[in-house]
Amino acid sequence: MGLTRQAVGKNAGKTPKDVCIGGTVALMGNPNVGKSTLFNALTGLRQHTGNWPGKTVELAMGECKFGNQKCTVVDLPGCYSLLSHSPEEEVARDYLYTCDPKVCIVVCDATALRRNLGLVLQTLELTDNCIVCINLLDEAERKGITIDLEKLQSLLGVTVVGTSAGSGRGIHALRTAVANLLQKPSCSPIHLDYGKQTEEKIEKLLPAIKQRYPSFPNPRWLALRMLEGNAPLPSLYEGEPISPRFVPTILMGAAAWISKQCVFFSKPEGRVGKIDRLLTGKWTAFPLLFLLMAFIFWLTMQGANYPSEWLQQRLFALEEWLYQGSLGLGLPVWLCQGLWHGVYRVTAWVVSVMLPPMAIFFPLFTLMEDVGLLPRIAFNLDRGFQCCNACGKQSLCMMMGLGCNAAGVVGCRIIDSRRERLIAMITNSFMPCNGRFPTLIALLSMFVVGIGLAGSLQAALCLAGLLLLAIGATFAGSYLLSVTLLKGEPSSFTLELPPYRRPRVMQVLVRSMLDRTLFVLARAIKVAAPAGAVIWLLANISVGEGTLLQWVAAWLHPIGSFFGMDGVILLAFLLALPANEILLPLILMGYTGGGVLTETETLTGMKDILIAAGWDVKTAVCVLIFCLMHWPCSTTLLTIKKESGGWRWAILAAVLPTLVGLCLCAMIHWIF
Amino acid sequence: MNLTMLTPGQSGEVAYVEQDHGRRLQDLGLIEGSQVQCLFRSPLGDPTAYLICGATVALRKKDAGHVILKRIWD
Repeated sequence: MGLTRQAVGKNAGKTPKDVCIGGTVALMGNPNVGKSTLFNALTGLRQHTGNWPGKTVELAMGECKFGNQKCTVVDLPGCYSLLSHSPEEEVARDYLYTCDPKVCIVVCDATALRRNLGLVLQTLELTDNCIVCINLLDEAERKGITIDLEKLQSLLGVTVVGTSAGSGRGIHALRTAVANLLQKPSCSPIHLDYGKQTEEKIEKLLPAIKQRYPSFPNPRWLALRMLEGNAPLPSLYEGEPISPRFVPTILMGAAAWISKQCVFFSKPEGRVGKIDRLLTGKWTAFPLLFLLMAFIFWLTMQGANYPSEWLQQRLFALEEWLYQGSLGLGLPVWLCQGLWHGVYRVTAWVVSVMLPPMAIFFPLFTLMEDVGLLPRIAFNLDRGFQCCNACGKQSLCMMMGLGCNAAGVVGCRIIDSRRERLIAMITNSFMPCNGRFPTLIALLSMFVVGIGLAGSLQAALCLAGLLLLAIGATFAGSYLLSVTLLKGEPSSFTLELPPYRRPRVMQVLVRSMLDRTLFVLARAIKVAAPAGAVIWLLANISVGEGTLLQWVAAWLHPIGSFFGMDGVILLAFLLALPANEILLPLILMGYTGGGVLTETETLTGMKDILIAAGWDVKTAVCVLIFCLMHWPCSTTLLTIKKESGGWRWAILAAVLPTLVGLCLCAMIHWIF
Repeated sequence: MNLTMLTPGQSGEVAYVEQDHGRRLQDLGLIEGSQVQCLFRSPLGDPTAYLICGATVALRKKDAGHVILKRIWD
């Protein structure tokens, strides 16, 4: 899982269309073999997530034409083996024998074939209709690894296709192979011999299995599982279970033997790349990572400037024109003001100020993910998580949370242990999501560092510093949870560090940027517009002596000012529950009451409004801290509820960061 | 002799993995007879990255301690 379109895009969660006429083609393989790239290459834009019939796990599905058959392609979760008990592996295994796809493509990493072959051999035991796809051939070439595909094909007994999904090499050959297999399902895959004793036991079980489960596609596989005591269906075997080490040893032994015949190294294995030496070196790791994040933030801010300015000018000019126009049409003044000065303005604000940084950060971050940097960050931070009795993979979820907290929460599925997954989900919103960055940047620029080029460099460094604070808070929060509500032993931890991949820059940038822009635009209309309406109404409906807004703000004021903020700010935070990016526009709208705003387009103009409302540096810092640490947005809360199976944890996820944020704000307000 | 005794650059041959912790480590290729090489350590000392079956995998000291080795060489 990652910051994929499926996780946060428009189509997430829809129910799948009916399975295509041609049947299903399943894609499986170890994690990190480029399965998603292959999936995208095959299905293009024709994809969506969907519930797999009978289960609540969502699988990515798409359509592709193989020959003249239109098939549904299913992207199964990455797994190391079909024999273990982790949720992904169970999904993959169960899918194979319940849905019995017409073709199963096992995707392998050419640079780690020995291990990938283990999964291939396991799959061949479960289904005959397999195609082995050796992916990342270009990466293997660069590492001096050559693979004799023909030899591999003759040894395995099924079609083997070599691909470099990233550059599109081999995709056509793969599609032809699938088309051929669909037409004529005839393979004679390799048959593993488990030794006389075990084979006899299998022979004895087979008739009983065929009678009891006649529709099970592969009785031999089921027999083996029953012998191990690990069968997905009620067992028919009554004797001593064989050792769980037995089958994997034979499989890995066979995999090693096969790979020795087919894989040739021209460079010695095990050379540590220069990049890894730097990124994980004792003295260089953390400074480098800090600088990298600062650089990404700086790029985001600089890159967002021009589109932002341009959008602001156009949209605010348009506002005036629309206002006058609607007045001219005879619409009542209050309606025109409400529509254009309230609803439109907040929406325009979000689109012009919030959207550009989000549209830039998200793709940059996806690039980082693409290259393979995230596991290294997890590798470096793991020690901290060990001290909190949490899982190191939590850092991956945190990184995803930087893009979008809801995606980060969904990403927590990579953590096997429920206890550790909950810790990761609850603390995820300490990481500032995409929607909060523009607010943080604007506040930093206005009150802490100053505007201009030097200012933006300093702002980038400050933002990176805030990120450190967020990471620290995550550790503290995780530790707190692990010694109180979520006590327990840490589970075993393995993290794969895939080789660095050359990122498909243009593809990622364009696709991600488009995706993100559309997503934020849609959310601006769905969320910002109504929020703008609400706050404009509050600011313009008078009850007794003051407007509703003044009443509510006055009521909230004592609470707000205790924590270094004020009533309007607090109200804005509350109203920004659906989407963090509307916070600043709401605050500004709250102060100006939707009257004619003179210069909100520029940061100096904004600053003037805030100072006139009584802000100083301390207020800005408190707002910064509270923006960093407060309840998650409604989407995230709903996602937490869904993923954890109840409102209890979602409420805790709302309370914990808020408490921490409020404490820090109070400290800053009263001590400094 | 267990996996934690390898320093970066050293290799070892696996004898077996202690039972309880077998599954995931097995799936990654740590079975009897397979070779493992220690690659590098995290800046904070733990975890350590190992070359297992052609892939780079990071293991915590606690978990690596359950992988028993037959022999070690440079």
